[in-house]
Amino acid sequence: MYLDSSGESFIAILGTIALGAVIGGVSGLIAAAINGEDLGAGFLSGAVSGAIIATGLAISLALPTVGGVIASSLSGFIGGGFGDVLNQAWNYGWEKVDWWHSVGVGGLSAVFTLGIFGCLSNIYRSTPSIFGSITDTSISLISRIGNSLSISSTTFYLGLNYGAISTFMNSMFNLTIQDSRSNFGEEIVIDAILI
Amino acid sequence: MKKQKTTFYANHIAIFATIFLLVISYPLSFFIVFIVPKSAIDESQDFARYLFASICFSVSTLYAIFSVNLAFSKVTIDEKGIHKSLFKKYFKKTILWTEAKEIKLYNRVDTWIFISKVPMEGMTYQQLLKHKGIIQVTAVKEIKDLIIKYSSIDIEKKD
Repeated sequence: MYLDSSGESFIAILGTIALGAVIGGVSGLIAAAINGEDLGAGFLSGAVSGAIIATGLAISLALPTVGGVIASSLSGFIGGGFGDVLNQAWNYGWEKVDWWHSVGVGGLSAVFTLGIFGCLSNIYRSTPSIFGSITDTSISLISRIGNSLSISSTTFYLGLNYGAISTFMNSMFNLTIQDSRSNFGEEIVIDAILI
Repeated sequence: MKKQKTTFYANHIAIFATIFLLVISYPLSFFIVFIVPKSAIDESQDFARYLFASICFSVSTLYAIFSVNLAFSKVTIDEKGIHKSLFKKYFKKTILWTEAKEIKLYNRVDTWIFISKVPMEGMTYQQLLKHKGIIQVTAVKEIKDLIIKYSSIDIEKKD
């Protein structure tokens, strides 16, 4: 039997969430800088998205296929959509949140997270040795949580997959979906031709 | 003398998954519907707001309903074998130690113990989950100790 004597394999799940949040936050920061928006809002929304999506993806991989599909797409929707809501609310106020934009970002994020779930499932199936170490469960839960917060190669690899790619894409979705507020407050003049 | 615990939740990650999704989506739905102010952009925004909240609420509720068996089933380990059921009544499954062929550890996000009536060689994780002659439990120390105590089969790592 091969033992992960540090107990990290319990998933390195908390380390993954923390790393997902940090990478998501930085992705959100970059997207906000590109978009000329508040950097704090970008970081917060990216971090929230990263944490939710990373957690959803991590747990999805342990579930049966149907459960994994629902959990990954739902966490993608909530992470992407709510991150976008937070970003808008910080920048423009709650009354001016473009909810269609958030539903769109959430939908795209759900599809993309589902795609990552499919890819990671295949990686797990084809190369189980990457994740093959067995957790030493004789270590106390607190120690395992502590260990999982250290950045090991496994944590980094998983964090990169769970958090980084999806939250980066999520930030990009933010930039590409049309914002209804662009017409908000502008007077639309329609010229009528009377025959 | 303290009585040894013999009944455990079978799938800790599934419990975590259910609680995680409900804890995030229910308060979020409540917040969006009852606390967020009415949109100042146009009326269709409020429809989108309710749509967002209802997707969060309904999908997580459906997930919770369909994962009750997965998340809240318990296993009992005794001298006869390992018994799995939901609320002691539903989805009952038993593998007697005399029937068990293999007991293996498998790492997939968390570490699992699979107790099987059939050889598990060449089976993928999803195949192991679906097979009726296999019971999956989270590999906690107390469960491993009980299996070692009652079963003569060695616990091996699955390749």
